[in-house]
Amino acid sequence: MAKVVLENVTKIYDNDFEAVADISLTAKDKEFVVLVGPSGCGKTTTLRMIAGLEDISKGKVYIGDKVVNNVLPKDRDIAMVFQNYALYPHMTVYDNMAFGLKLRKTPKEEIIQRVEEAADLLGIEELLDRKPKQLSGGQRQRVALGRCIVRKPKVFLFDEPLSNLDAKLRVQMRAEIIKLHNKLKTTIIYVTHDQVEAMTMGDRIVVMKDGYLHQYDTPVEIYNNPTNKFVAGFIGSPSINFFEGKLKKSDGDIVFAGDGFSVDVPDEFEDKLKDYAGKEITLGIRPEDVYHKPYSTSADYPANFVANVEVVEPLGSEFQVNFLVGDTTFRARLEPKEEPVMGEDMDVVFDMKKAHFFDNKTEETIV
Amino acid sequence: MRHKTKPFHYIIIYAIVLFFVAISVYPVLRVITISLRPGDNLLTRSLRIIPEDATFENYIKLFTNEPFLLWVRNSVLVTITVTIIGVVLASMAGYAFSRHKFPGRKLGLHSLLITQMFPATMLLLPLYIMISKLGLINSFLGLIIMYSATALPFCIWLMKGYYDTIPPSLEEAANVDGASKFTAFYKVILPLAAPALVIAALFSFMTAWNEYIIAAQVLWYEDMFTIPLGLKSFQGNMTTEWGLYAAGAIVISIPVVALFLFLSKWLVSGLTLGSVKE
Amino acid sequence: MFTNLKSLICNSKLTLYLFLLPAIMMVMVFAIYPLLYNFSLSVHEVTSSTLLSEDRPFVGLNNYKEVILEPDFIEILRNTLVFSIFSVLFQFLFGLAFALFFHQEFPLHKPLRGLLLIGWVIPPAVIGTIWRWLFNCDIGVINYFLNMIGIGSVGWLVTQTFAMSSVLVANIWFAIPFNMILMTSGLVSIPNSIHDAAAIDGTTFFQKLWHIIIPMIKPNIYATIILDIIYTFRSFPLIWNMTKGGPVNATTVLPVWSYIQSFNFFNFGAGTAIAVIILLLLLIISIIYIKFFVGKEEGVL
Repeated sequence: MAKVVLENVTKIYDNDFEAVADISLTAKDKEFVVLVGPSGCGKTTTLRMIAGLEDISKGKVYIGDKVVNNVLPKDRDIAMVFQNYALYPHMTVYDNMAFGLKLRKTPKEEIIQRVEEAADLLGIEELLDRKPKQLSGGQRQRVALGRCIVRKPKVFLFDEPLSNLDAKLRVQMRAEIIKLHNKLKTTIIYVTHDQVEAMTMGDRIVVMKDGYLHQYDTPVEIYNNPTNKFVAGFIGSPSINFFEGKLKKSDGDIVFAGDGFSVDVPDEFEDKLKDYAGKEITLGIRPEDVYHKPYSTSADYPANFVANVEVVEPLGSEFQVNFLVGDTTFRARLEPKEEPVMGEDMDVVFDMKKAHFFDNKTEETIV
Repeated sequence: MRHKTKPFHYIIIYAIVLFFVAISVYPVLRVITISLRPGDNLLTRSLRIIPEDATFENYIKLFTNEPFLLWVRNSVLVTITVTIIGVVLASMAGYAFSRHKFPGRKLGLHSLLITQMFPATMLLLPLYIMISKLGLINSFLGLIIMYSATALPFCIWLMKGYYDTIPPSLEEAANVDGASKFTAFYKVILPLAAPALVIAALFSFMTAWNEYIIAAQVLWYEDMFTIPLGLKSFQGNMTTEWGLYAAGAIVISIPVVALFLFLSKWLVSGLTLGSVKE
Repeated sequence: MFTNLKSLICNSKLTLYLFLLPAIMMVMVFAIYPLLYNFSLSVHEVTSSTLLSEDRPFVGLNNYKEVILEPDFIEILRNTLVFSIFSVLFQFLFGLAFALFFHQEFPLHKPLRGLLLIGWVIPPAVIGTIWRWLFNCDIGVINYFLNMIGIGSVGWLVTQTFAMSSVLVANIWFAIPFNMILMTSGLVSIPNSIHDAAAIDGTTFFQKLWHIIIPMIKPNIYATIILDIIYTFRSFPLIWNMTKGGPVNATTVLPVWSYIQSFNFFNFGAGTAIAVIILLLLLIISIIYIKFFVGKEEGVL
């Protein structure tokens, strides 16, 4: 059990490509930290530096209180699940799981006991004599997990472990990994490109892009208070709607004038937005903060306008709707009782208290 | 190709197969026939595979009158050493070429390829000079070195190509599991490369077992001959002892054919790219 | 500090060089150095008396001039090309055909395929002798059959007209198994779903061969053909055993000529020069081949 600390960690490849730029973060002991971002954002490189599979160009990595920059992977006391599982094809499931213990000269009885314990925990007792070739994707995944568990390492590292599974299995394994973490209480650093996985699994989430850390916080905090436009757009499904527009003053109030509509800005935002009056700005509204006017809860702010219902996707519990206003399409999650009808116009309200505004140049969040 | 063949196709298929099998096997059967004939009775046009007067006379003579057993010993000694050197060195060098980008890597790989374009027999003269200066004429060591150097480039390429198909995440998993670079190579990668190792071994084996032109330059005394060189000495004089030669040819071929049949299931997979799938 | 030192040794390039060193040393000293040494011999005057001494006079390209101006040179070069082109063409086509044929599933297809490979494992020296017997004018089986159907005996290896074709037949016979194995390894790598898709599309066998199988095993084909070219162009033991390059020069190819010059006539300068010419020709052919056919498809070999 140990914390993992990254201090100004940078990775520059031989061809001068900067894959990871000056990342600092702390994963507390027993914490489940998820690194998430689009492909090429440097999340896997970061994980591999923690594992010792990549050299660290600059900065320091601590596991526990020890700097591990010059410690070989084998001596870092970590375990890792790879994207392709990397099970040893020539060994049985048992041998795959026992390999690390044998290398550490663990007594035989203890190896047997620990492998059986792990197999029991993962429900793979009957598979111990099989070779990886004879296993299904989900079973391989479990073996890969088992190989980590038996080692009782300080830290688990996961490199997109669920990306090779089908959707249903992925949801199931997600829950199992969460349960496993609750039971084992080992520090986990988990890499994924899937923001749903990140949101559901992580105690805290690191959002990365182009080698930079954009935000490091709890899922709820990241969802509600994204630091910039990228984080706002990346986290959340369906993703947030962005509107380009201008801030205008009218009757002492600030109004956001978009393409074909305008909405009032809540008073509490005005202070922070006053420098942007008359300027181009981006408004972000999450799909669940869009309402059909009669069902709106935020009647205080006359933020309603007419939009055309383009597409309705009834999902049962909710309707996902594409609206068209001006030349802009945006997405909303409505309750069935709000009765969207394809092709018709609808009075739409934005819950502006939950809106975000982004600076067009820096893309940073203003409110 | 994988469709189920209809019964009446079988007749055609087997007719074709038998024709070609006959063509490929007949020349070999012919050697057996000659080896079983008494004396040097090559001069017959009988098509019988087993002659009427079949006899093991030639084989008996081969193993009793000639220094044949000595040649077998020499061949086995040289061949096994070359095979071990070829497999061990190629498995290591191929791994370095596959997994590491080091300066001179491309040059190294290309040079290996170029040595393959040079007729092995043409290295004879420079090698002969080198070997004689090193005082290795009439020694097995000289021959072993020459054969190993001839077999190595192909084996290195073969191993490198095979390692390329093994995902590097396997070594990484082993490293994380607690294995050093060498342990990961030895315990994880090498067992997976078994099919390629088999081919490398077979290739080294055949290089050393079959060769006689280089051997003829290096080994001068009859009791140091390898089998192919000894066989050649049968046909050196005016009167070739064909029966003896044929018997010797059969004996020299048996280990290779046996090895080949034994390893045949590895053969195709060893040459298949991308064969290690998890 | 100690952990640092340890990690330096284990992790650094040291393991890598330890892995490389023995093989590279071996190849450098006993394959690449002799190659360069051969080149050095080819620009000196080397006789049997100066062979083991170092005072060989430098003669520049004289040995090359001598070889190229030799009246036989053109004929021998032509022999080499004829031998190589026909060998490669037929051994590849037969190899591919057999590989395709034995890729079908019929009872015993694997053991029968094994039997076809037998020629590959017989020592080339023995193969030369076998075919010398088969082609023998008086007692050879081939003439026996020709007599049976009334054609009469042909002096396969002793007449200049037929010697080259006889040697070609033997070499093709010898090389088919090698081609067949390489092609089979390509065929097994084609997933079954491709065959199923082709069957659903209703392609005929030759359409499938041309549009699906061949494009999919292209890398194997390229690799096989370049190996064929290299092995054929420099092949020596088989011809040497069958005809020793004769009758006259009918089957003398460059490697045979080089051997004759060095070890029969002790004309070492010419022998080594011919060896260098072989290497240069092969290099040029390979580079052209790779440029034109393989193009940017890396990792073929």
